[in-house]
Amino acid sequence: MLKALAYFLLGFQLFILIYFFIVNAIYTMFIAVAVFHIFRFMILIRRERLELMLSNVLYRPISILVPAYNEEETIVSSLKSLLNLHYPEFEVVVINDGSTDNTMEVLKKELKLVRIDKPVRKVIEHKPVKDIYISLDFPNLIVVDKENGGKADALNCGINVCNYPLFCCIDADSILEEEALLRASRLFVEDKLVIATGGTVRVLNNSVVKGGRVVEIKAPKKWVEIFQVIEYTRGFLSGRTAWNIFNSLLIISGAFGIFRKDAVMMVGGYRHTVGEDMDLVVRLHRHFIEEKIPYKILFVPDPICWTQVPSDLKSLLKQRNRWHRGLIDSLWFSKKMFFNPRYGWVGMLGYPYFVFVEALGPMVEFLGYLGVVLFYLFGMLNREFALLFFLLAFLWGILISVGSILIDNLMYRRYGHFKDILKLCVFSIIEAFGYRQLIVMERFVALFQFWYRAWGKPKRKRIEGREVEKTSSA
Amino acid sequence: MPGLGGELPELLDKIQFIPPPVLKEILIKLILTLFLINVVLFAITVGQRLWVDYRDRRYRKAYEKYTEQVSQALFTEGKVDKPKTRIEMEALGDVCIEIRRKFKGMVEERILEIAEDTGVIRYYKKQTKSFLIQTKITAYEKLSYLGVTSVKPSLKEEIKKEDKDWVVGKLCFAYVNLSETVEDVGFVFSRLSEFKTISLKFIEFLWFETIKKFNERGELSNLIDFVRDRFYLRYYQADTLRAFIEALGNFGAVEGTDFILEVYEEKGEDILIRLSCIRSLGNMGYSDFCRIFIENVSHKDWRVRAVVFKFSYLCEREVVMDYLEKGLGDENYYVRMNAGRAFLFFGDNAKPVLEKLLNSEDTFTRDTVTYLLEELEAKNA
Repeated sequence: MLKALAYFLLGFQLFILIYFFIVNAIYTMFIAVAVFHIFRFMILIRRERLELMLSNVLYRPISILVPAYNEEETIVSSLKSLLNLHYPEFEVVVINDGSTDNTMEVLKKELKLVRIDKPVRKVIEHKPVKDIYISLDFPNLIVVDKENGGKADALNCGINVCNYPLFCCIDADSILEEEALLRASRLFVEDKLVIATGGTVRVLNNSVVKGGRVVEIKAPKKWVEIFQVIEYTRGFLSGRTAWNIFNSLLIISGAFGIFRKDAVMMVGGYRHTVGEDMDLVVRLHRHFIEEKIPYKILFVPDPICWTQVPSDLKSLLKQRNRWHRGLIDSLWFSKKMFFNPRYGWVGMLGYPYFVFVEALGPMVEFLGYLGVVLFYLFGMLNREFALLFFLLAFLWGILISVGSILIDNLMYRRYGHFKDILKLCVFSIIEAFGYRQLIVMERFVALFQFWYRAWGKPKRKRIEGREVEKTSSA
Repeated sequence: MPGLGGELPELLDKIQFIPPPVLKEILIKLILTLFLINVVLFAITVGQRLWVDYRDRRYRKAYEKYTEQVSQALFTEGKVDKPKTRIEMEALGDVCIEIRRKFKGMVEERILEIAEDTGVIRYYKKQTKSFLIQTKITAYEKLSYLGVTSVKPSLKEEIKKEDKDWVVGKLCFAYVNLSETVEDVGFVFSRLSEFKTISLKFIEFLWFETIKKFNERGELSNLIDFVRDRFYLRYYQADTLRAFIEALGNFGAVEGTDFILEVYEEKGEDILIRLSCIRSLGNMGYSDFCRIFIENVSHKDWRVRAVVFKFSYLCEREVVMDYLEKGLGDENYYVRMNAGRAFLFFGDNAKPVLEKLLNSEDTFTRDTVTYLLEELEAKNA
């Protein structure tokens, strides 16, 4: 009995150790791949002096979808900055998702909205539309007032209403860099197989914004925000770039992504879930592989969207909990892709990575911490080895974070002050003491909440019902 | 080690398949390696940042120095120091380009002389041979800003052999900056028309730059005749022609009016051509726009109706007021919107009509008119 327990504990130790090595090796490989690819990419686009007009060499018209729920304070300024974007041809579609505050009244008043009887072809299902408005001041603005149905529902409505073949979804409180759309949309022109692209999302907190543009970039002051800058840099610059090689990118951030409308309509639009952004990308992969349609989903590091991140721990943990539940839900919904050779690299590499590293990672890490405590209590902890192992994990973590900051600094030089870079480096060292464990704990809790909250089986939307919805007449 | 585990620790030690000393050695080696890598990474991150800041400071200093020296050298016998470093070379190149952009005539020639004497042109010519496409494009672009026409043959060859649309687009931009004859123009726009992915807005922008150059030399009529002959009569290229017509309008090149009217009359059945012609005539304030307005105000295509309403201010109030009222009730919302906004051009003169429309049964008309009256009042206030 004792021997069996000993073997079990040895197995447990080995599992944690092997898992640790594999995950960190993957992250390190991501950094290496990212360095190679980003350098290659930057050689092409660096030092562009011809600015806007020359970037217009290649572009496609885009509809920008902005779902809004109770945004009366910020919606007008956000929209005005979007409407002033330097892009040859675009429209902004705001979807007021049944706001309970004065969002609609503010929009009507500030943007001179006039109600119209525009018929909407309801290719994707969504909650009923109350009214559609256009603006007397901005001919490329459409505002849809609909019943509340959540972000996914609002986006589906926006997809039905919008006029252009590409759409870009961004959060109402995010700011797009002037050339972001040009850079991201250009891929759709260059390569007809591209059905979706995602850009980099960066932390806006503490930066200076004037006239809807980020004019000075500064590292945040609060520790919660600084840690998130490191996480975003690591996640976007290394994690996502590497997946391009295998066409296995499973996440395009909801804060900034461009999609081909017909492709999204093929899969029935967004599904009502907490992680609708990832879910859509996973279903796009699934559908295109099943139907044997060649396609590409790409991450482009260059187009940048700035977003506000939670500035207090409570909101941050809540957000991470939601993200993790969304991740698991998306993976669970498309579980048949798991290690399924039919789905190629996505099924054999991308999907398992997200299951083992992203979804189950917090559990393994938590078990590791628990193991240390239990081994200590039972007097089985070899302090020397524990210390060495901790040092190794700590240094490897720093390597990945500082490596990402270095790539970011080499490529973009966004932060103008030396002390900001120093601050990020220092925080990437102290990240391992407390912050990391807190996030792991919250994601671990989210894993259980997903199973025990009885979420109900998600339903897939059908696309056959192509009825025409008419808005209430004027 | 005492604890709750009893004999377990000893048993665990016995069944380890990697002997602890070996494992320890591996771990220590790994830790040391990671530590070293981290130190190097940290040093590079900090060092790179410091180097970039230092380089920027030096560039700014060199830029200021050369701005002063070049400004003096333009009007006196002052000398410009030969750049010793790459940063200085870049700074001097940018100073020359900046000054050349602001002044014309003698200054342009003197700047070219300075750039030649100081080695700036040689430096950029060398860079045009770079294997990095971006360096090559930037070098050609800078040489074109400096007006170094001697690079035209090599640039032409690059444009001919290149197959990437965006690279061709950028190189064509440089070529347009250097274009002297209508043959140059013919080469650039014929090459661009081979790429269906290049946006029309960009081609329009290149036409605009070309028109500007030819206008400065007093040769705009030659250009228009050439385009008429090449892209309209001999090889009809609708897209190239549309971009040219739009650019004429944006530039306000009234010399092009007859040509635009000719295209409008003969090819106006093509809606896109018709739209470009109307927009262009409107932008240049064509004196007989009222005729165009009346001809198109009831056109079957809503885009045509919308665009003529946009320029309805070019007509007399008595002529357009009834049409605007009708336009406000058009079946298309963009036409309605343009008609609505057009009332504002006529200021208080439009007030009686707008006040009458306040009682309209149509919500859109009522809402629009309310906004318009508010806007008129605000203007008056």
